[in-house]
Amino acid sequence: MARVVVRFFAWLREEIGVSEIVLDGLGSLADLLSDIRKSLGSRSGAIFEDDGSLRNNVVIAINNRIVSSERSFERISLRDGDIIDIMPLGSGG
Amino acid sequence: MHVRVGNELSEIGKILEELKKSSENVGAITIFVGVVRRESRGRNVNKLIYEAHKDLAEKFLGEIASYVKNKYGLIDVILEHKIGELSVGEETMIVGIASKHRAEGISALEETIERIKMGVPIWKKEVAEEGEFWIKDEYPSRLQILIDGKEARIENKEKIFSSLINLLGETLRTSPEKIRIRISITTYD
Repeated sequence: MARVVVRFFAWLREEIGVSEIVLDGLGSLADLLSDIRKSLGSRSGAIFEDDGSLRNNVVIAINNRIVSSERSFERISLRDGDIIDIMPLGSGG
Repeated sequence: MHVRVGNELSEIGKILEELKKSSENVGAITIFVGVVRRESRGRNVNKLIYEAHKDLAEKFLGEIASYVKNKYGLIDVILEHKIGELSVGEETMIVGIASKHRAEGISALEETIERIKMGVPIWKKEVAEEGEFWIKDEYPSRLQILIDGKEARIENKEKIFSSLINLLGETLRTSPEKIRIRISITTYD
């Protein structure tokens, strides 16, 4: 059973009020996001659109590799110990 | 070549020395230093708080450095970005470029800065007298769209795409035989 760590950054972290969560028993990245959306309830608007798709200013990385295509989320199987980062687009400089 | 995201920046003198030592063919050193300024969006800023996904940010900075080095034929590139709490007047970022000639160094500097601002997981929060504000959608202060060398009039930065479509339509109307159109979009901050 996959146990994964999900981390949130910058204003996403502040808007949802949590910096890190640990989740068990998830199959795909799509499952994980669906679970996060349900558990966040009304706070999920920082990350998701009303239809459940990711907001276009949100980026996801698994173990420091960006996952660019939302269409691939169902095909990405999570493994035990994976670290999933959910973050906004950058604003450095 | 080195990139770094951390609580300190190298001294400019050291950056300069490192770039000069990278090759005897260095003929130009081009350096940009970002600084925290007091006024921003009409607010009185007391400090900026920079946060980063350090591993990814350094990975992306490395990719940007390699990309501009190859694209412009540069000799060496140094990219450093500071994170944490930064006061007004404090340096935020250094871009250092060593090139054979100044032209490629200056062009590369501009593109490097834009790429860092738009695509690296580093975020900043303004702490101002009016409150605290994450900088979420930072539009460039100047954006230029050229189609076949003709500049699109952008009355409102949020109407970039309609400006682009208008000029594209005009170009096709006046030159319907065209099958290839050169579009150039440049942003400045």
